[in-house]
Amino acid sequence: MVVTNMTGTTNGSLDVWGVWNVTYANTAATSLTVNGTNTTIWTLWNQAYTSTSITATGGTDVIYMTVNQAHVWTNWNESLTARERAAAQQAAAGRRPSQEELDRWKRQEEEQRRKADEAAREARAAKERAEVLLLRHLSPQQQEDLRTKNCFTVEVDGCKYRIQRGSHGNVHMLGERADQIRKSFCIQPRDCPEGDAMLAQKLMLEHDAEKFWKIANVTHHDGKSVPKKDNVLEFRRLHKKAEAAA
Amino acid sequence: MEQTQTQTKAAAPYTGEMAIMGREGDTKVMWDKTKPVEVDVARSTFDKLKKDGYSAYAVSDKGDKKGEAVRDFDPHAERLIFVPPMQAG
Repeated sequence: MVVTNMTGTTNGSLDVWGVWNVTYANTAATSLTVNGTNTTIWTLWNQAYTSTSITATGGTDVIYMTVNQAHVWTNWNESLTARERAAAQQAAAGRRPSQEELDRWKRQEEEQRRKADEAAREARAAKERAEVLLLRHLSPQQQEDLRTKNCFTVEVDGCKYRIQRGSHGNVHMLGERADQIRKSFCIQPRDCPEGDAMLAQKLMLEHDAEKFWKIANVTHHDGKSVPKKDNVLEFRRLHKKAEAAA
Repeated sequence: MEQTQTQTKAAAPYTGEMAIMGREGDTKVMWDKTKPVEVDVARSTFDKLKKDGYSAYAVSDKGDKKGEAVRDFDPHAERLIFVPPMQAG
């Protein structure tokens, strides 16, 4: 599901999050674009969910957030409890909740918390399984790099690609120096834990780098996007140049 | 994904293994190339995944070899990794 054009004041979060929580409390969004002017809430969001595959970036006008794990929303919704949601709705309607309603909301809250805990456990298990699969298919050097630098390198036709820990925007084509990023790529398999995403990126680069470029969103080192139609041309130009140099 | 009867059997002997990436981490499908029933199930799993747009790679331990992209099921394959369709973020 893609939610767009959600407007409001992010500072204090009441408008945007009020709309979000009332409308989308029980859904699993894959992408959300919020028009706002304050990035504070996104910083908090990222801090809270650094262990999951989610990133949010902010500008002065538009903030983009991409989510690829439905359980992130379960966790998020858990923090805004059924009681709070219903109380807010009733307050808006101008009446106080009855004891029966309070009791029901408490039960719902407990059930939500239980589901959120279960989702978190499953997410941890999935992450661990993916990490095992990834490590099993890295060379000793790549394993060491991942452990010490949180990234590993893949070489294709003389071009070096660095895959950083993560799943979105975590692949970079390096220049002549290892600290020089030439291009960045945003490409990943749908709904996979981080380790699986990194392994998928490695396998695709090694076996079909041209297709990798063709599908990915590619950006230059200065952050400007490469027009999609130019992806393959750019791939061929850079790989041919690297092959010639080698 | 629908699970098959060849899915992980802890102590069972097997000669081939598919690791299918997914939301819960990878799901394993194993088979013994000497058992036609297991091979048939593995083959139908392979075909279904390919039809769904998954990419298959034959791999080895430790990433010392790049392995190869696989188009058709080979009962003698030792280890395959299935990657869901890639998409731009």
